[in-house]
Amino acid sequence: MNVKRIALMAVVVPLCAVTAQARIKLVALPERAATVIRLDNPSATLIEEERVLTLQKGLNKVDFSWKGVQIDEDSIRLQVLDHPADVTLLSVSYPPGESALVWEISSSGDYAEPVRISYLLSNIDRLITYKAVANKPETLVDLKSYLVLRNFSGEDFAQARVLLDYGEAFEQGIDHEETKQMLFLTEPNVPIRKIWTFDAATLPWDPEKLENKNVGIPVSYEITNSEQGRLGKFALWGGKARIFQEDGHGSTIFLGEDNASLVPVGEKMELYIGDSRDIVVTQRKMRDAQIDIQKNHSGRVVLFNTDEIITAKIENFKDSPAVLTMIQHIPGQWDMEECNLKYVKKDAYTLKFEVELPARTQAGPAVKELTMHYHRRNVRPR
Amino acid sequence: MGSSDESLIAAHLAGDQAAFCELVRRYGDGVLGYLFHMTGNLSQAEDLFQETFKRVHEKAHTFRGGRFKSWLFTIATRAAIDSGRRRRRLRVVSLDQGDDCDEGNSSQVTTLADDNAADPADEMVKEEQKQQVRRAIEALPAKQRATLILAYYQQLSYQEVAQVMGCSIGTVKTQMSRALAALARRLPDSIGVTK
Amino acid sequence: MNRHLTEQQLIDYQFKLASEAGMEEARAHLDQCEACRQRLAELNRKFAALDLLRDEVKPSDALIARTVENAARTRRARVLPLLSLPWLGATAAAILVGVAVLVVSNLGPQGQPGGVLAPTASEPKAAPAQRAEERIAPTSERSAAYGGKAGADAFGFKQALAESVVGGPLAAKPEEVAEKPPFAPASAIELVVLPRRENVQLTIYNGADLTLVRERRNLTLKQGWNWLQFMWANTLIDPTSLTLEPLEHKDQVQVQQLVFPPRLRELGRWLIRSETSGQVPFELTYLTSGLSWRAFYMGTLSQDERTMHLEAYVRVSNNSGEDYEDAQTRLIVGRVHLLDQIRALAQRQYPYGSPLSAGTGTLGGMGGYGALRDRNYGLEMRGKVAGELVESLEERKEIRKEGLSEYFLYTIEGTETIPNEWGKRLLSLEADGIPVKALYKYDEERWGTQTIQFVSFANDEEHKLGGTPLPDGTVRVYGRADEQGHLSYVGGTDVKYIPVGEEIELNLGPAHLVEVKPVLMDYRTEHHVFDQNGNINGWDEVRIWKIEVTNTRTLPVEIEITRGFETPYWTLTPPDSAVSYEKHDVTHARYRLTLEPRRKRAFEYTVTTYHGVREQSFPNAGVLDRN
Repeated sequence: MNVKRIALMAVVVPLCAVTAQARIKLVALPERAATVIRLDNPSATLIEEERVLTLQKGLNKVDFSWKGVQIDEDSIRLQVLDHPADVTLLSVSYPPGESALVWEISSSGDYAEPVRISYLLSNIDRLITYKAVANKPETLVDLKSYLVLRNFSGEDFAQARVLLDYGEAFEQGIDHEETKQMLFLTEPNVPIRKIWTFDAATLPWDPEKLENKNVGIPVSYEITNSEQGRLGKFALWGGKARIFQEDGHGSTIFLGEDNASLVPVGEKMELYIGDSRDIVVTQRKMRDAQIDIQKNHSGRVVLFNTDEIITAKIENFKDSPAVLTMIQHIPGQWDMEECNLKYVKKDAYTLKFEVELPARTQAGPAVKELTMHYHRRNVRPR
Repeated sequence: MGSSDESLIAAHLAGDQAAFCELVRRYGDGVLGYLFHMTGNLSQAEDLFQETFKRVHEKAHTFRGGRFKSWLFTIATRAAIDSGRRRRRLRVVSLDQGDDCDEGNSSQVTTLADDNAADPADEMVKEEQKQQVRRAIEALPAKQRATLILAYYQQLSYQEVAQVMGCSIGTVKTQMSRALAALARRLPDSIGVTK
Repeated sequence: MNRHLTEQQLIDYQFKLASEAGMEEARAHLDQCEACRQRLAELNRKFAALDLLRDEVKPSDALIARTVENAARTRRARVLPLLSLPWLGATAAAILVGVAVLVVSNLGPQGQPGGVLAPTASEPKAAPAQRAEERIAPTSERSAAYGGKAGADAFGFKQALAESVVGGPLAAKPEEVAEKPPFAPASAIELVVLPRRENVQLTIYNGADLTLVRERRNLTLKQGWNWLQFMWANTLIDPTSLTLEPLEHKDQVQVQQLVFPPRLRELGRWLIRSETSGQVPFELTYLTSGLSWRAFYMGTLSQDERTMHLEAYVRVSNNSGEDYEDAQTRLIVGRVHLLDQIRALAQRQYPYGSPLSAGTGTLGGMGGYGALRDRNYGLEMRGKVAGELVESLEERKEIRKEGLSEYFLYTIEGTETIPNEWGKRLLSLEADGIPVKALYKYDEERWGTQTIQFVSFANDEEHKLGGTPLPDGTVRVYGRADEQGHLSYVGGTDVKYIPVGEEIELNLGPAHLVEVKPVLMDYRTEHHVFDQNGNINGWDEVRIWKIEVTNTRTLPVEIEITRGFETPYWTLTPPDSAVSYEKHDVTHARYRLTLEPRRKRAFEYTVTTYHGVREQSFPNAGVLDRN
């Protein structure tokens, strides 16, 4: 048993000591009336507690201690609620070597005064996780989002109002070292788009050179945070997403997991689940020549153009059709002489192709070829 | 009734309220004393006292035999832990108040000394000594303190203490050893009321 | 002994904290040492002060009376503020009776499996329904019988309480479920432990240390709030993957929360809200580590090496710490993307990590896993050494294969029993008479001057395959050494995943009976170009290569030779038409030919490479028609 967590209070009560020292009377206070936990800032959590202090006319010293709890002591604030004019905070002092402070409060009368104490607490936060179950044809997912509360602050909360980023509040209790996971959002039949992406900058071009290893084309699910996508009411927070698929036998298989980043309304969430080895791309540079060469007076080459041809063979071994997103990169200044497949320029150096691949047949895989014949202009030798 | 703990429990389960009352009387001193030393606060100890016996009342059917006393102290320990977790953080310290010791306290605290009808001077010395002992015990870490109280004051065997605290007997002995060593350092030499 | 006893030793002696040996030693010393005896006496006087506090507090009669009265009363209701979770439809607040919930569970015999879902030690053995009744029955003086009825006045209130709390045998009418969930139960006795699993399905991945486990359990719920505890000590379950879902009454039953209580490891409690009472089947799923499978192959070539007999096996291993009995077993072929290893998540100190450590949290010290544990319903086959069970020939199991998303799912017919630390081998595919081609390759850039032997075929119908992709694994190829059918080992290799329809080439290592030898027959430079200063800034290099190919085998062989040039500027005069030639890529040319048994052949080709400014003279260098 962790000694700290047995938490048997060692409040010293010297009863009936007959000495001339100032007597210290300790009065136990009632439980917190209301506590609010704000989890909207990942670096620190703001806690607001309401308490009722029994104040007597004159000078009161209120001792607030937080041993074993990670409170930022500079952030502690006291706000008098009922009689702010009559109750004044005179000073705040910190006794040595203790996780505590002492408020000196002056009161014009005897009050049972409600006060609000707020402070920043560390190591209490929330995580979001997602679980998506896709149907067999992978066109829709059943999306569930879970909220996980983690409290490692050292403080127990029997019941508190928990506020998240958007002011949606709910009541929960959570003790120190407790973790709670609760279902937060459930939306069935969210449409998804399955994307296979071959990025020529990141994937190997020639699988043959890989000696007994498959390349694997990354596969992602794309979910749009919009009304058409059955969502679109609020931003989707980032968190770990696990994706499953119904297998048609009343069970599911696990497809993969990815980190979902924050997705504002209208934007897309892309979840990378794994690699497909049933689509194979073999890309080769078939021509790379210098043309239109310009030389200086000493005969050195100072400028030239290139004539380049890249071919890529795409084979689909799956028994269902697929659309391969292919990203090609051409550096510098270039123009396309001839390209047999349509593309879109994502930026000055990036081309995006969407290659539709039919399913394989008896004869073998479905094959499509890309041939890009282009020139790079005004290249200077290094 | 003059019966064993087991028969009192059985009678209680059969609905005999007087049996339960007898159990409370029989073990009340020990339980209250334990809780008082663990919390250092008499009214809190009384609350826990009530909580403990309430749980005993409800869970009597789960008592599986063995020594009732250790089962009882297990419940008391649990109650103390559970309440400690709902710890209160604020203490209002009021400096210009007069002393109002014993206000609202329903139990007598210093009874033994009164019985001896001793010389007040002696009483003061004894009071001071008790203070020192109390402070020494309260300075112990909670686990050592609990071990000491259960083993020394409540006279549970080390095996029973292990059961109550939910740890091994080796741990109990280590805790006890450390507690006594710490006390030996803090307690003043040769206390003794010679009369 | 000359040394005196230390104060600690004296303490341990006096309070019987020392070991037997220690006690003996101390006693012996004290017998002889007056100084230590005095110190001991002094110590005892010091400790006598402890007795000052003995019986310091006594409960007053008033306290005792209050205590007894309080205990006899049932607990008071607690008013809790509104719980409103968005998206779940908040309804009006209600007052909840704050009694910890006891779920009536009709477990028959004590058959709880040990290990993963062991009940807590204090789990009562008798039917809880009866217990609930006992507990609520008041301790009225008039009751005599064990668990008898209480007096009429008190009973009415208690009866209502019993109905709303216990359900089951005492419930007379269905009630509105209170909106607020109760606080977590204070002791394990108030929880239901997940009952024995009805059936288990394992889906084991070969691409990662990951298994998806689905279990079906029947829970008996009461109307209202139910707490359900699940423990998984000594196994490698990822707590963040635990999911519990009802299979029936889905609109009436809601699994609301999963709580991981403080300081309890490998334990979780679900809070379930149910509008119905009775038995509800649930499905529990989670991800675990420690189960794995791999594929491997055995190929046997016919004597003429024209066909091959292929056997594909799967080997399933269980190192999860848990025995699996009668589990429906499925294997997944595919590459799955994982952010965290399941094993690491299972061994974490806190289920979701903690904000104290960055990222996924500290890996708690779980130490060893996989120790065999006692099982009441024990399995006879047990062994500490990893064993292997091969199914008997009579009951060879079918493995059904189907594609799902980017994966292939192999479902093993029936169920499997794999105890912890055991493995199992199953035949997953067998094909005979696969037409194969013996192919030899020569490529100095990849294999130096060795000629490598390949066996090639394709994963399609023409080759007696094509039903399913072939998972990656090790292949061992054997040949028939002689007419009697004795086998010889030809070679082994790792084969990658082969989709349906793709060609396979198995690399069997250096060939001994086929040789390729390129010889440079002629070399010259020509067409030198000079710059203004008279230095050479361009030239051609012309090489004539002769490639000698020898086949000492009794079978015809196909040979592929790849030649590389350091520059993309080259032209080549291909050899005669018996050798097929293609430009492989910018810097490589490739030849293929078929050579009859016991034959030697040579062919020549001329390659011209262009250097310096000569490169510009041949911008179309290297671009030639393929044959």
